[in-house]
Amino acid sequence: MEKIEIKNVNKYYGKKHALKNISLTINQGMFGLLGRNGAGKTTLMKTLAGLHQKKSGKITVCGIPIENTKEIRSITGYLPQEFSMYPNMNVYEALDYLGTLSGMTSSERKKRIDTLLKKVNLTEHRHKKVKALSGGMKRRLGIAQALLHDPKVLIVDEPTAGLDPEERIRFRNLLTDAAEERIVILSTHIVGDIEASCEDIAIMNDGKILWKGTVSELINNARGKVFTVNAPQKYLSQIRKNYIVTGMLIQGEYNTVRIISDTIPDLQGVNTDEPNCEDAYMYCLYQNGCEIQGGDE
Amino acid sequence: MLFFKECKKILFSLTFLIYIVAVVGFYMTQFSHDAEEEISQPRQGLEDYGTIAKEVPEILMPGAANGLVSEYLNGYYVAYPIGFYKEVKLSEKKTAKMAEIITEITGISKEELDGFSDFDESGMTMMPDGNGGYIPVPKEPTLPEINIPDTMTYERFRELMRKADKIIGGGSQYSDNNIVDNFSRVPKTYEDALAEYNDIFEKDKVTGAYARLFCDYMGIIVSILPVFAAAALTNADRKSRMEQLIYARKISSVKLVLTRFSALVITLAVPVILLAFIASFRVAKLYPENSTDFFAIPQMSVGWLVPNIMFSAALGMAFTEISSQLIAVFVQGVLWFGSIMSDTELTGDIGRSTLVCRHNSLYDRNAFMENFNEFLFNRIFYTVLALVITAFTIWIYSEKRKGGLNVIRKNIIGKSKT
Repeated sequence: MEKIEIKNVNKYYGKKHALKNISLTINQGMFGLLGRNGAGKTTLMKTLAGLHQKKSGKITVCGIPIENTKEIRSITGYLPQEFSMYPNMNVYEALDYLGTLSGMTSSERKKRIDTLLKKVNLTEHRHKKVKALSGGMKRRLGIAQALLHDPKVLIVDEPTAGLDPEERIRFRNLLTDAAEERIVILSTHIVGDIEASCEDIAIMNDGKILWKGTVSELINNARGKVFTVNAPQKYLSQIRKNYIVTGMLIQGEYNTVRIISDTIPDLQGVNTDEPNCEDAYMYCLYQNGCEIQGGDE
Repeated sequence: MLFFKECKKILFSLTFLIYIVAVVGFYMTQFSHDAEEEISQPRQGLEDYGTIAKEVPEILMPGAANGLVSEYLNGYYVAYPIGFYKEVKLSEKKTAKMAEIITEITGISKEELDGFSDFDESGMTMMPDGNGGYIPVPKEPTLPEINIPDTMTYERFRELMRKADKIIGGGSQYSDNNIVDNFSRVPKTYEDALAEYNDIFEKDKVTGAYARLFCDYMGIIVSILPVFAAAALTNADRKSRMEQLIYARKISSVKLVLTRFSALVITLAVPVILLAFIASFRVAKLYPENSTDFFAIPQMSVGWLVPNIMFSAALGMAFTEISSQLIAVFVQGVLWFGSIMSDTELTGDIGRSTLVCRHNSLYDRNAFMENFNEFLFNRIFYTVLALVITAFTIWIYSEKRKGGLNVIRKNIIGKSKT
């Protein structure tokens, strides 16, 4: 069974309750884990990769209990949020070294590295030292190393942070390709990445799962709760004080302000608008009583 | 193969380059000159040929009695129960038993011993320098007058010394293993020196003597430098932010740590062994007329120096894994400095726990051979200790891979992320 089952998982860092009774089922394809920085996404990712131990609960990855770390590591590819490789190794050597640690034979490594370098568009940089790679190239090398041993599960933690828009799109496409034949878990705080590549998602905050379902369900949840209003500059601070503002577009003297609210805002000329993924995410946080700072100056 | 990849990482590192420069430099500046010096036959009529341990009751008995009284008055007894230095303080009951032994061998009662107030074991005193000034000189301890009764037989004396050793807890100066070496030394005669000289040629095949000197010099440097390479190799994952990528791989912690440890030991030992072959070649050239053992220096290097490399590498890996590179170097530095600066003699004085074994002479073969069992124990001890430390490193590494020790590490150096 190609799925990950997480049941009532708890994890502590000393006294800090980092994962609070997490339950999730993740099926084959792209799964997005969305949340603010510090929400507990990385802790959950590391726990799934066998790099952290849970305090209680049960996790099985493709039927294998998470406690069986050797088997879990052999079917899991992991790309951490912050990583690099030995700076003096070239791209090929770095992958070859990590392939050896994955127990691959010399011929398996050669074949797989060639294929992956082609896939991540690094073939012509195979002899380049890791320290000479750009940020985007390093990320692509990162995804290549995670896919090296052809894992059933790929866990990527904040992979697009710091990338330019072109690299970000290229990276998302790589993940989407990878998700055709495996489970890919993408953890991010960038809503656009989730919207562009994931169908199933979960939203985390303060160690808890606030919401789980599909992107369209999330958007539906916010339908009728998003409003726009054209307001003069001088009223902006008042609007921010009273409502959750998710966007502002300056158009001459007036600003088009995007507002989230459970009720129709008491503002002149207010219109209901179609929610986008970002609105829906913000509404979900708002709905669950999370403090939202976006509206204040 | 992972082993060769780890070796390659070490060979192309800056720390290895520094290691090579230091090891070759040490060989050139310290040993090279001695490798050109021929061992000379002792000349007749010299005043001093050194000393040799020889069981002479007339020397041993007063010496040991003096030692025991001195330690009794001092309030503690020096012993090496499992090879480590220990100052043993006795309970009242055991002190009374020890006083009984002293009374039997010297005639001094417990009351006299306890009432003796002139004893001052250490300290300095000012003495006239002959030019009207004063110079500081060590105080000689003043002991009560010791007269061994005529009725005391040597056998009974040794029996009492065994008893004293037992009261102390074993490993004292009065044990069967140590008493002759400590209290019964006689000046070497010309014949003794000549016999030793002949042994160097017949039993050591000449190169054995050079092997001891080679290992003495190289031991100084290979007891400290491997810690730098080990710490750098262990820290490389952290420094390159590659830890998480490696932790997530299938390889077991046992295999990874052992492979890295073996790669370190082999890459650091090979240059020293190569230098040992070069030394053998030079020594063989020096004695074209004699039958030399070409493999004596490399063989002794393996037995003498590899345990040091293993220990230093193991300690470097363990402390870097649990704390930081700096702490690893500091700990090894303290141990190394303590051993180098200890008051052991430079020839043959090898204790069971001495880290840097010394024999800074082409001569004094007997002094080395007298302590050969201690030397063997010492080398096996450090080899086993290195393996135990490596097993500990495996456990640490395994826990860190599961996120288990990050909190501890964070508390120690405040760097790790959770």
